[in-house]
Amino acid sequence: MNNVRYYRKKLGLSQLALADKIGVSRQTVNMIENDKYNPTLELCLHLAQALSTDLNALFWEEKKDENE
Amino acid sequence: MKMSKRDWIVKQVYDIYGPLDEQRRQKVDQVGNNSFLFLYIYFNIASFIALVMGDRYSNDLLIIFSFLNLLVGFVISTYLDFTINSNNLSNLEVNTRQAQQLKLHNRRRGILYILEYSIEFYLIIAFVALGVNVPLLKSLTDFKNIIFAVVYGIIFGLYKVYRKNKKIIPVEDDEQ
Repeated sequence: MNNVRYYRKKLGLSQLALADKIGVSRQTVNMIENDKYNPTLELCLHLAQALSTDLNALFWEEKKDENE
Repeated sequence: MKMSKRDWIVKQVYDIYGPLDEQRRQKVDQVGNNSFLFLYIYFNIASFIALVMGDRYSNDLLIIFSFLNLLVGFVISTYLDFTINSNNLSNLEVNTRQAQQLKLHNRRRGILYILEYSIEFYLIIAFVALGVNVPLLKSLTDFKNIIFAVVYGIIFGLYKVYRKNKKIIPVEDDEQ
């Protein structure tokens, strides 16, 4: 699960406002937040810029140890 | 951002209202590829049949393929319509205030749509009449044709306004 929703709410933005800011539909933002769509690198960069953060903070996931 | 000609054509063909972003584009490409594959296979089979049997059964094949082509066209357009609508690709989600403004704008444009459809139908009637040896000037000045064209224009113009307004989805600003 990514942190797009967390950073969006931190800035007090609605899905619609974020979608308008980065030039996509609200549906796309919703699908990204719910892990139903993998955005391209370009869109990830736009998201990071719009949310005033970096790619790692938005999308990095720690790999779970297979032996756990 | 200015829309490219290709994007404009894609939006017209797939009846997409709203931004053609990468997620929608991906879905549209998938739908388009599926449709192309189906049509490609159909075209090859139909051409082969026409090549092999066309000489002997030309009249029968004409009737059969006329019907089949219409059926295939209907199947493809139903598939496109169903997929576009079920994935909400043709909707435009805006806030409540913008939704009201856009709907009002569409209603005002209704007059243009009515005019567009009326002229289109008027010309179609005239040229179809030409095909059955009715003089063009006579069909252009026929009062009945003018009335039909206006009625057709009103019905389809208003339907276009209704369809466009139905795609505008007002979204509350804090909707998740």
